[in-house]
Amino acid sequence: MKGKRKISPNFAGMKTLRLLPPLLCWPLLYLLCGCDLIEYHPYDSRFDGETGLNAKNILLIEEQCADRDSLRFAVISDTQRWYDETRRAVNCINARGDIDFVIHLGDMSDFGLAKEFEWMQHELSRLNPPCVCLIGNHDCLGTGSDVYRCLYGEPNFTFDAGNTHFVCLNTNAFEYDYSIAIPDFHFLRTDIETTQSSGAQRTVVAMHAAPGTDQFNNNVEDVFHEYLRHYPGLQFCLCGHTHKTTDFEPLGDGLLYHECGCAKGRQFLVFTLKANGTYEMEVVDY
Amino acid sequence: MRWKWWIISLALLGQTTTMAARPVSKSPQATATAEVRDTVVRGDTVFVYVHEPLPVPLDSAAAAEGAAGRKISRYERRTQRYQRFWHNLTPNQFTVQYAGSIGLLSTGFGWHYGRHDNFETDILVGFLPRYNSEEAKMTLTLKQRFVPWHTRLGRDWTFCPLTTGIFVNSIFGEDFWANEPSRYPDRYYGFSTKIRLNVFLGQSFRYNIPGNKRRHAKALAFYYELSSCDLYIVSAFTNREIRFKDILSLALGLKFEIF
Repeated sequence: MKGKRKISPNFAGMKTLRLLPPLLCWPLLYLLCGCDLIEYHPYDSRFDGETGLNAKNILLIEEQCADRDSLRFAVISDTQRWYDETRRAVNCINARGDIDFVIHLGDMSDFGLAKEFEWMQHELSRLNPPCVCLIGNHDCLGTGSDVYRCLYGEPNFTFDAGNTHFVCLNTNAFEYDYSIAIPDFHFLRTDIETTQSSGAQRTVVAMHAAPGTDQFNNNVEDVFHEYLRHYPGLQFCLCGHTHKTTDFEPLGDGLLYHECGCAKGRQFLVFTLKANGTYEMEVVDY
Repeated sequence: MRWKWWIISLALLGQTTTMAARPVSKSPQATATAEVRDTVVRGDTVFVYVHEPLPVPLDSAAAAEGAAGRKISRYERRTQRYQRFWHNLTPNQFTVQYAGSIGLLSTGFGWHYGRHDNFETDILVGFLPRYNSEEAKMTLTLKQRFVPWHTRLGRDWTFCPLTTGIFVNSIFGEDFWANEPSRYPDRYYGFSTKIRLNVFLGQSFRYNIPGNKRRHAKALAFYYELSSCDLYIVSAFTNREIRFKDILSLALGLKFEIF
């Protein structure tokens, strides 16, 4: 037969045959998409992007809030596996434009997978104000605590925004079977001493699980409060973990806890610390 | 009489008739005592089985009695059955795999079986360096693959347009548990950090080594697979933010098919 043999377009069988090569080649297309398909294990603790984020964001917070006696910050918590909802929260915070910084009270991941931290950080990185993240009990699963340490930094950390001292603590003692110092009183004592001499006017304590919850080392809840009282101008505590927005006094000793619900409930808290020493709390639905 | 399944030819589809016929017709002894009994096509390879009397008993005890003119003991029959059982369990392929959510590098053995080699089972041990965690880890994987089609590509190559299946991976380390430790209340987390169930889709290319060039293996296959695990699938299903591409993991592998 001479020349090219033309295939009649009317031949139905030929049409389906022509569809075959592209159908078979779809995995090859994915191969070309890039190297982010390479994963050694869900718990391999590898991730892309910046590390030590809390330290970087604390620098930003301290810089932009320096010498200020009034602050407005947002609190979100328990955003695990609610990426769509987290995106809405981020959009809502960005749209307000009056937030100085954001505190995430923990549970960025649901299973402690490196990819979950990456996905959640992808959402949180869209926040215009700087954001610090605490460690939640879900973040301790598998290699999660190692990923947290690398991605955000030490689980216990503090920073100063204007005249207010913020103490962020790891309180997930149950996750470690009470085998390590959680809450870390040595850290608290050292920090109290430096804060008392630093001239901070107010203190806000943030944690994932409040005293009285299943994660907290409830054997030391009184001692914990005893320590916290030494902070100058202790205002209130912030917590998450039980997925509902509420205010309570776990020990009935006058120290108030403001709890932020999970992302599924589509609520976050906005606190305004005023120059006259009072504060206002606003629950925002999004 | 004693029989042995004697493979006289392994050839690609196009060459079957000539290659299969040759040894049978050329040897007068073979034609006298042996006969072409069966032709089995496995994938692209045609096995021509010829029954030939053997001095060593291997198969049927009743046939052996006729050949040797004596009864074999119960002990012998049992030993033969025992040996045959373990002989059939000999792994016939070895695999080396890069990535694919079961370790940086994994290696193991397995079996390909089924009427057209449609099924493969592999056991793989993977190594995972420590990266940002405290220690390096080992993983163990049981993989079940289904290969519905084999397509010939030229003389020595076979293409499998679809390989699919599941694998279960277990990671070793004190941070991981299959069941929640006893300190947790019942179903506190409701999943296992140690055991991952994955599904995969892939393709493979196989080079069928010509008979005169074989040293250690009959065929060498390159495969790649895209997999995803249970936790990722759950995350992607409940979030529009997580796209299909985000939850895929690519594996590249080499498979040595011994026989």
